[in-house]
Amino acid sequence: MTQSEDRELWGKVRFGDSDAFGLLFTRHGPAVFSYCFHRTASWATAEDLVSTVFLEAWRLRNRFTVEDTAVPLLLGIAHRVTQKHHRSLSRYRAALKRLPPEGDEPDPADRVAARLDAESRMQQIRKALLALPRHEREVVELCIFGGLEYGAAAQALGIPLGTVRSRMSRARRRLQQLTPAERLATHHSVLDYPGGV
Amino acid sequence: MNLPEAPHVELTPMRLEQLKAFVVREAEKRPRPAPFASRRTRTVVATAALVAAIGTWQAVSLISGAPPASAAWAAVPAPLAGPEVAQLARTCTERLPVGTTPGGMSAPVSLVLAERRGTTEAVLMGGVDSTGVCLEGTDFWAAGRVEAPTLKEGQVLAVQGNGGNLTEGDSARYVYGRVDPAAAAAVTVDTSDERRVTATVKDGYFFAWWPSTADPVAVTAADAVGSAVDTTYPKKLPQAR
Repeated sequence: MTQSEDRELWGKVRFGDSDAFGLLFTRHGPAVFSYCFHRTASWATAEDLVSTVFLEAWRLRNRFTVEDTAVPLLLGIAHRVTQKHHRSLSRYRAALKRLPPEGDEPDPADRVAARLDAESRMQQIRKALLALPRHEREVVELCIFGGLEYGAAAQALGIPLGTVRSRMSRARRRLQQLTPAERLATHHSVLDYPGGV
Repeated sequence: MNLPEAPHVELTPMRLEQLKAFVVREAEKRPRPAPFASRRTRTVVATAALVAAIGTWQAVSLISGAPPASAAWAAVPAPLAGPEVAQLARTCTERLPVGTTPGGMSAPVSLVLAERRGTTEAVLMGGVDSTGVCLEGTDFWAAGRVEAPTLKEGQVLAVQGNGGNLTEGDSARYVYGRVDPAAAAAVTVDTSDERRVTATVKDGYFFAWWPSTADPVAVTAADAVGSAVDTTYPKKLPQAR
């Protein structure tokens, strides 16, 4: 599916086309889930939140347009929803009670262990991110966890591109000043991030 | 200095399908979008989307919330003129959605026709790359746009805008498009709730709306003496969910 198809899909969504909405979920649900997980370090919460993000997108569909890809729009909503996710979830609490439990799948023990491990690792990362002021952290999160380029992150946050650049730059400097104990070196890093357009 | 590598997380395909089914089902229970403006003002916004198909364009507009049906309406429009038309055109230009097609529909539009049906006024705006319509009621408004409609050679009538897909409550539908002024002088629309709506026709464009969710069944162009010269049957839109 091309980006222009995203725009066309969103045009249909704006008119209440739930089939198009479903296609949008198929296409971007995984990325939104991943972002929500990285923001909350909780698999179960992220599952609730990905549903909440899409239901918010549906509710507010007349307020937004999609230029190319719907990802900045959805991650922008995800950013806001995860920021105060207890409040966000409350709007859809009744609906989320209808969310079916995950079906039986092979090796549930392995799956549970993997999820616990992911949650534990993500909690460590979130602790490290606390070294950053919130505004810098959210740019880092959108660019690194959400995979957005600077322009898309600016769109998602509703801030100028230059602000994203400067916040990212300051975030890099701050993270360079972390103590060795705070360093958890890997190849996916803020410092390695090539940056956006 | 690096952050630790963020764990790669992925929903299973089965879970993804479950969640998709869930959000679609829940969305269908919430057909009405959040109001664009404050609820206090009860401003109702209509939007337009474009459905591109090979060789054809179909506009779908949504008028959600309150009331055209409760407002006075006339099957035969009254002409609208004067300073208020210019204001309607300016407001319409501001409200028309942009950027929903590859071309962006960003070229300026100007007033083509204006009409009044009961308490609701409407304008149709034409431009190089798009055509848009706006309704202005006492406590609602609507705006929708499609890419610039054209008539193929030999074609008398073409419906490009077919607004509707309503969700709940009172609502309105409209159709608009192009008509060959050399072959036709009038256009009427028959709807599935047995209305016959006279369209406003001007400069090769026609426009009609009615206060219900009824589909347009037939759009007929007639010559100066009232003889039908062409009829088109708009494709039925998907039913509201």
